[in-house]
Amino acid sequence: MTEEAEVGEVVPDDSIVTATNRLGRKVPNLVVRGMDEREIFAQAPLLDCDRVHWDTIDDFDPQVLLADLPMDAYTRRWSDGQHRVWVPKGRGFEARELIKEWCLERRVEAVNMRVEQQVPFRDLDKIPGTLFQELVAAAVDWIYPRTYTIRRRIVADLDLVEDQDVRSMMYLFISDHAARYDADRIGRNGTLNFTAFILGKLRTWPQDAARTAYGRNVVGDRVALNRLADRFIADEQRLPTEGELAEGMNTSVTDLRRREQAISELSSMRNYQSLVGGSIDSDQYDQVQVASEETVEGDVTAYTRNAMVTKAILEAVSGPNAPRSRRAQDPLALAAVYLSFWEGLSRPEVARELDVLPKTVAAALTRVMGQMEQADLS
Amino acid sequence: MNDLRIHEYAGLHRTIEIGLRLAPTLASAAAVAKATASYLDRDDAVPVRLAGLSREGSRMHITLAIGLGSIDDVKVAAPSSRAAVLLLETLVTELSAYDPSLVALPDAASPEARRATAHTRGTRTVEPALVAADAALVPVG
Repeated sequence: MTEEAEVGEVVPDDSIVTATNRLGRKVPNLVVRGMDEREIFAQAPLLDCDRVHWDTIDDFDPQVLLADLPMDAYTRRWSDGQHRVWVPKGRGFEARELIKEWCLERRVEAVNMRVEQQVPFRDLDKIPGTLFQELVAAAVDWIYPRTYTIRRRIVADLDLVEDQDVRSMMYLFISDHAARYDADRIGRNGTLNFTAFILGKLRTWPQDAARTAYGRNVVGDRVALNRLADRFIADEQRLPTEGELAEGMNTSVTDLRRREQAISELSSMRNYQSLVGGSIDSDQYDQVQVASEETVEGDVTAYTRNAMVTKAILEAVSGPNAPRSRRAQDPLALAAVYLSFWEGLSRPEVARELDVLPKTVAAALTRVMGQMEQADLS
Repeated sequence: MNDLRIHEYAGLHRTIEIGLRLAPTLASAAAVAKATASYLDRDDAVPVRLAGLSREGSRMHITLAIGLGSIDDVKVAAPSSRAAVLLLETLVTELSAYDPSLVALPDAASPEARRATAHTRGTRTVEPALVAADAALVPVG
């Protein structure tokens, strides 16, 4: 879809230069009932507002307090259940105090009330009929098939969310964010259309959803731990030890374990790979896993384990599902695995040695590691 | 990376070898050498050499270097490369009692590689009698 942009190249009208300096194509404007999205949004002009948002212990509809505020005020229900009121720019803090007083008088228990200044807002109720709803549906139709990775992350990260739930979740997400769409903002590639705006917001959707569900700290720790693990896998082709993780997180091993436990217990994230060896209840939990300087070749189990790993690798590169007489051996996969794990070469180095593309090496490694995983040896 | 295995010089045939280590006990070292020799003699299309010979504790380490062929052969899964994989699989399966495992090939200047070179004497198979002798004589470590 994208290609390298050359310096001085004339960019055609339908092309854009992306943030990573590549050529891409503009996403199309949505059209509903013959009306362009710009015409639809023009019916709900953009306002420059301050926003007050908060939570309540009991059910509450902020619509009831709007009449008591001495200023223009708007509210809109979001799918996250938090209450939001938009007021003219510069009056956010005044509105917050008034709302606090209003809640106190009526014994409405308000939690964590805060102000965000200078946010764009559209009163989408001004768009007649079901035009807005149809516009959001059209946006979902266009975006849904093009965001596979984001959808997988949502399902993987959130308990009780299945594949079939994601489409309706995406509808709510787009509906929530539509009110802050600024169609007039001019960027590097001209004005941003609605689909491109939502695509930008969707990039952080899984992380934001996980934060809402599990709390900022837990998700932040999970992201940091995954980054550390990725770095070790990329650099050293192994997972980090607890000691290395603790060092990377700037904390103690005890605190690291507490955080890992919080991640696994509070979130029960389905694809979360525990970095603590063994289960929480096992005896080994109390042992600190640090990089050993001693060779483990003398370990009596090492011979057996190495032999099992070798057997699994050779089965994986020999077409394991075919009868022995019809097996199609894959020498390239064997060479890639051998150079990676026994000669200690990185993927690009293996690709260079074997004179193939890095993605060919990656595919070969994935194939073999998949077989190893099935054999429970990875 | 052993420079003897992957040649990066123009005009040279770039080949790749896989290290396979058998770890019999001292008592069974000669039997393993004989069994290995018989498998290697059965099909001489695959280049194999004895790459290392050492002892650790009660085990002998017999390291074979099995040639997968040139890089071009490996890339296209040529018959010779596939035969090498098949030979590896056969050795791993048939000699599983001796814990065969993939290993990095020892450096050509290392004692175990030099000992292996001394025993090879120009033949492509492992010499059982010499391996048996080494099982008793090779120092620990």
